[in-house]
Amino acid sequence: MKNRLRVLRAERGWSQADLADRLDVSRQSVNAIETGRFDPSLPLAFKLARLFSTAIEHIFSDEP
Amino acid sequence: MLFSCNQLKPLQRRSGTLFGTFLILTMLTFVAAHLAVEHALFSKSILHLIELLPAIPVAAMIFIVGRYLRRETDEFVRMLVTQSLLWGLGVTMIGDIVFGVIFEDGSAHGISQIYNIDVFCITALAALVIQLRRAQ
Repeated sequence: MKNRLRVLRAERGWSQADLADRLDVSRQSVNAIETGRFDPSLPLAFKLARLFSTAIEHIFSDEP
Repeated sequence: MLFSCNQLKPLQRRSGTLFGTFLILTMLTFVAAHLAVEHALFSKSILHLIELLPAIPVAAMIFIVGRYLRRETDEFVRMLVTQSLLWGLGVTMIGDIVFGVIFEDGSAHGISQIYNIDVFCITALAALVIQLRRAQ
């Protein structure tokens, strides 16, 4: 699954650690999601959407 | 840097400490049971009870890991820990089969149980470290 997490994070000038703190997860989790090695659960995806004030489908897409 | 002790959450630190404590207890009870059986220090019924003693800390370790996994809020870390435990379990089972073939006569009975715990813990820990390194 592709995502725009890195772009959204960069737009706000946050580091991976900053985003991890806001999500209450490890920096490794953020890195794994950004690189597409780990797909977050729905609760975490909703948390991301709320944090970036956008819809889940604007962050994640199932396009190959 | 990998998850250093400073980076660990209180739940991770507490669970790790408890797990380590019960791991040492497991090894000690295994060794004590093995020595008691080998030297026939007690009557047969008491020896059977002593042989069962290591099951208590092993059960405690399973409980600690289960409780940790239930309370871990970071789903990625939870996945890594689960995968590492499966690696540990798999390698232990394979090692046990190999050990059983090498010591077919049963001469290593008791000792192999101690090695099982060692192999499981070392493999699971190594798998966790490798996976965390890959996740950097």
